[in-house]
Amino acid sequence: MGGPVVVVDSVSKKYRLYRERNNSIKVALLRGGRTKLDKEFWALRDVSFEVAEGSTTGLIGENGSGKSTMLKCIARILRPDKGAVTVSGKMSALLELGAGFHPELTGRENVFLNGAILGLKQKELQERFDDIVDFAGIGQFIDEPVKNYSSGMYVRLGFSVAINVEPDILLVDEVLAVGDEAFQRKCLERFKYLKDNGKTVIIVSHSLSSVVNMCDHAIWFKHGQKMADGGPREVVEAYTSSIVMDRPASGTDRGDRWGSREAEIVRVELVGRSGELVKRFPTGEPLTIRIWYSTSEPVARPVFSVAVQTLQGIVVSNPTTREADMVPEKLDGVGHVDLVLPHCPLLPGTYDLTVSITDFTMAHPYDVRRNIMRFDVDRKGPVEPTGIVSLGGRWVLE
Amino acid sequence: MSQALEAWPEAPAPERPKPSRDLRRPRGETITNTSRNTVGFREYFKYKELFVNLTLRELRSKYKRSVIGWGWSMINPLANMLIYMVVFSVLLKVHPPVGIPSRLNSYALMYLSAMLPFTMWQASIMESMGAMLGNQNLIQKTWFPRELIPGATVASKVISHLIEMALLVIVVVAVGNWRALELLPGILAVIAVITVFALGMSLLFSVANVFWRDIQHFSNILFFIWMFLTPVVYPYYVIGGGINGSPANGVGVLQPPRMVHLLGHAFSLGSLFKINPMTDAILTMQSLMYSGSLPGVTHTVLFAPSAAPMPTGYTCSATTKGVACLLASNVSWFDVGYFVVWAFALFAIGLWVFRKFSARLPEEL
Repeated sequence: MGGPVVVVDSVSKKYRLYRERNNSIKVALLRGGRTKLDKEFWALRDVSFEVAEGSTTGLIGENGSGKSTMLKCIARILRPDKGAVTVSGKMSALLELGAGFHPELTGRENVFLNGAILGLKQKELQERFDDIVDFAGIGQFIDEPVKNYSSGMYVRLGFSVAINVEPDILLVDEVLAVGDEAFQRKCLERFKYLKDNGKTVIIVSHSLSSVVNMCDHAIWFKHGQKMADGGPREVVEAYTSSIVMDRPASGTDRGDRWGSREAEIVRVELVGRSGELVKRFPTGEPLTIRIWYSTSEPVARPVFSVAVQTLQGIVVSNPTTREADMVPEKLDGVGHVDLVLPHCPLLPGTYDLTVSITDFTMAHPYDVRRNIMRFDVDRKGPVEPTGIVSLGGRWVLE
Repeated sequence: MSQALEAWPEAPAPERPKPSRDLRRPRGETITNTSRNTVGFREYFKYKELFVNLTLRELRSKYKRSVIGWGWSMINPLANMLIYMVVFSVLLKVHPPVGIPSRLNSYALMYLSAMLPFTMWQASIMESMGAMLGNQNLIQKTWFPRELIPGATVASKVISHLIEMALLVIVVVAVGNWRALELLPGILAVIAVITVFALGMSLLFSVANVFWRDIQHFSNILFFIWMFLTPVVYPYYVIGGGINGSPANGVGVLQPPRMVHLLGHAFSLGSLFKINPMTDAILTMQSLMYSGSLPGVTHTVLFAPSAAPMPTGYTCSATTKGVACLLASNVSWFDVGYFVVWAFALFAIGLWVFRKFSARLPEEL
């Protein structure tokens, strides 16, 4: 990684809020030449950071935290009210796929227009045209007006042009969440390619796991201010723990629930080393996850499953009674099912538990309790510095 | 031991840390975005390909999915011409002016040589306002010099205008004004100056309309009045004097210029209309295209001796062949200069205002 290519120096950005957006001369005249400002809203307040050449930086934060405004200030779309953003190198912003696409024009005509908007020369576009069409998977539809495209094709074509721009600095806003899985994978490969070629990427994302996976630098915004700036894992952790703190504590009846309820999950308990109920335990301790159920009518061949997720949404483990071949022919009445972990390998952090009873195909849910319980794993003794689980390996030195 | 050391391959010289940025690519220039205007004039040229593409989009999308397509850009002015011809020529019996020296005597050609440039100018401004609102998404999601949006709209109008004017030149030459070919550079120069004027007005109106949307509606009235303050649908002699095409004698009837009295002074109505810079522009175009004369030229027109009394307001003398009158062109070089100054002044004002306020477009749209 090289020196900074994007320098954000105490940038503040103010939005003007009008009580009624009545942009009329009459209103302006009545108010003495100035449209009355009801409120000013500082979308960014004194934000400073640097982005190193060749790095991938993720901007995270809640909606309205100012991260998209920041991206637009870097992209020159918005002009900061105070401070300065300095960018060295060819920059291209991907805030919307297919920006400037005209519905009546053909895919081909729009590729050239969109490419020009993103700063591609016509010659470069001609050279890459086949790549663009291939990457988007549009095929012979390229000479159809884009209004006849499916929304997926539209977005893929837009992304395809954008990704072929090969800027030194690429700004991306939430656009990864488009297209089917195959296309998303292609996009990720393309990001990796850009990264491997020393390009700088700045991405605004709500997907914390992709920030952790793809970025080597993350910045967390809250109410227009920079809260944290550093390694993605630490920043994401700081961000998620602040969300946890912000979230009102509730009992076991939290999270979503759905299903037909012939069989119900009544309660979930975590049982510790000496049989006591716990919500907090250290890494490596024995743990039993106990699922209490009751049925309103006999249920044939039910499957119990447990999913343990990190706050970033990564599923750590998802054991079910089906693959353990522990499916009773019939479930009737009240009882409990235990999942026994001799040494719980989870590393320190906060985890969510999702528990469900489904039929044998697992397609029909009787009762799904998403995020029914949140628990913490404590640090006790030396544990691995990063990661989600301890694989429990043993070092051998000879 | 020493042998083993000698056999050891020489350690490679420590690779100098790559100045990666220089090796991979030529370093792009550094751009600083602050509250001050940061669009350099030189940057406009970097976006010439986008400008071409935006112009093409305007041109291509305009007549998509219409059967007649580009034909409409011809049909519309011709239909308007027929309507005004019926109203003015047939119903109101307004005689067309006589072109000196081309001797053209056609309401239709007089109208077209005025209306085509006027419409180009007006449509540029009106459509630029619409384009600014229509490209809201582009402005909010991408960066490029915003001047390109009115610029591309004006360019697309000028391109259609050039096609229309080329056809008009062909027709005018075919019916007898061969001088129009000779004066072609002048015609192009007038189009160029009108384009500068249109661009200035478009920049000004399109950015102002984003802040006050009333301007678009108000403009409909403004340009309707403006058209009637410009000799477009009626011949200039109605206000400023000249020869009309009434066949009372060989050539026509010499109309005296009309005078108005304001604040105790007498003004010719024509000079008052010429305060409107579009009057000067349109008269220059008509002089070249219709009359076949450069501005500021005085022609001698001979009237039959039996004609009506000596025309007033003109320098005439009786000769053996008839009455010879000196007839100055409708438009002087001063009028031309007046319009050119207006055009460039408005362009400068429009560009200044646009550059000052365009940074707030993404928020205000």
